[in-house]
Amino acid sequence: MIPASARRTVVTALSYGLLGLAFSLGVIWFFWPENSRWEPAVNSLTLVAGLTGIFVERLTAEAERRTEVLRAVADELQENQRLLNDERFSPATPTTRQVYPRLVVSAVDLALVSGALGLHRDSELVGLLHRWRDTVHLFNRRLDLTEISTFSNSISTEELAAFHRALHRENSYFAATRDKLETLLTRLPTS
Amino acid sequence: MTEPVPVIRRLEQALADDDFAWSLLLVGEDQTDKLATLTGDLRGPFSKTGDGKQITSGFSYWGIGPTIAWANATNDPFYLVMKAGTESFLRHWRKLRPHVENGGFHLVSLGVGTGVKDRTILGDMRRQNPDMFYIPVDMSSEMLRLGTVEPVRGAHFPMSQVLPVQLDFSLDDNMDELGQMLARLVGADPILFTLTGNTLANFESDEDVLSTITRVLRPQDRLLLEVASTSSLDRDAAKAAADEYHQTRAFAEFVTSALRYNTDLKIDNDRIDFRGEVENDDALRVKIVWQNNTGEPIVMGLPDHTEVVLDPEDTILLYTTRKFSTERLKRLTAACDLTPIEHAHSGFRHTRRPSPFGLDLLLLAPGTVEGPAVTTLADDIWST
Repeated sequence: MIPASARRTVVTALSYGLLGLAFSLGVIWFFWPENSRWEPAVNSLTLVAGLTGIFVERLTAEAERRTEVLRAVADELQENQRLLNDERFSPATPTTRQVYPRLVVSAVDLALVSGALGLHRDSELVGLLHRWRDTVHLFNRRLDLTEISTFSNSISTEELAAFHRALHRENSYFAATRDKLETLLTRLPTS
Repeated sequence: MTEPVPVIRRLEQALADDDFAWSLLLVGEDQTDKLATLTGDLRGPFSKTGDGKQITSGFSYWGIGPTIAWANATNDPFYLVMKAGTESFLRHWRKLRPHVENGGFHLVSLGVGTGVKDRTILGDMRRQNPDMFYIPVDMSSEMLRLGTVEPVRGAHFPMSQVLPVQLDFSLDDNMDELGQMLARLVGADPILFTLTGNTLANFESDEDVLSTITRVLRPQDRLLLEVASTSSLDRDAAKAAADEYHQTRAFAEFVTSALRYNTDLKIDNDRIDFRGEVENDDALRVKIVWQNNTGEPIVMGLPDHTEVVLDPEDTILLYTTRKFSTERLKRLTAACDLTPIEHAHSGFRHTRRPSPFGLDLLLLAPGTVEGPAVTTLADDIWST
């Protein structure tokens, strides 16, 4: 399978090559107009260059869209990383009831429905993004449950401490979410 | 010549098919010692706060008079707390039952009460373990006879598997002896000890009694503890807790019955005071005291034919009970090295306004339980 960038380079080079050749033949035709075969040659080459130019434009637009989507996903993941490092999630934060910030997945949702990610080329990335989306929803749901429980009237100091402890356990969902985010950031293509 | 057969071995045969109301009783203590203790407690110093003369827990049920008074109090339809307790116990027990139903447990009931709760437990446990023993333990032989009727007749538990033990289980030595006797009796089989009906709250030091009981628990044994609980620890809640007991005449009759039957004091219900207070910021304590509010000294005759002068304002502590906060329960179980396996709670619903009071049933294991770790709600939420 030829990589998409190589394919785009080949088609672009071919288009510009054909246009360059047509231009050269046009110049020769201008100085030696007696040869009647120059015209079909220049026209044919221009026509073929025009056809390949359509593919060049489409491939370039797809590449630009994909780059934009990936940049938006990368920005969102970095924002999520910042949120997970928020002081409200810090183990050093005193054990008090509080409203936690939620992780966001709007760019990931958009990336998955936009079709900008290649079916074959980005299949692994699409799988990772689907799993990340599920992780974020379950993480946010757990934050909802934690807030509902900790803001109830009957909660004791020990129970609040239990929530703090459970959140910061080595094998808690919080730690698993952070690991998944780190993995996704390293696997995300730069363009 | 054949060896003589001990009478205890022949007893089972002798009592078989005898429809006379015999009941067997293993007595662990000399009852004259108990009478001396009761008399000694009633000779305490002068106190306006109920900290001098007293009737300690256990003696409130000691003798036929207090036993009848207790039976009447439990049957009083106006004693709503008792009714609520019986109803919530069924729900709570259903939640805790799976942990002890199939383990081949024997039942040792500490403070037998009316026997209604033991009947429920025995009915469920015997289905899985028909050979189990039922050993009710109480300081009062009359309570033992009254309390075992319910399980034996109500749940058709065989009398041959019942061994009532008359013993004050709040004393360390007694509990140690009981533990050793039980170990010889059942071997390595596990025992489910029960302390229901908020009995723990009646002792002067709940922690001492719980630790006394805990020391006889072997790793395979479990303790079923039922306590009254409160989510509020202010003065209003303490007053409401005192009022709860004030509402029924039958309960007042019961708390005064030990004094009525063991002394010649003429009991007037106007001299009974129900005092609620916050104890150590983690429990509500209700002291029910008799107070000499006549303004004149009163002479009270004791069972040993001596007399005690009750000066004006002097008090006799008749009954102590508590409502525990969650913190107190956790402190108690931690101090006694008990691990909660299961916990059921329900609030009182018989009042028009929301009540901070409720009942908790805890299944406790000694030390650290092997097997699945105890998880909190927080652990459940944040587990992967």
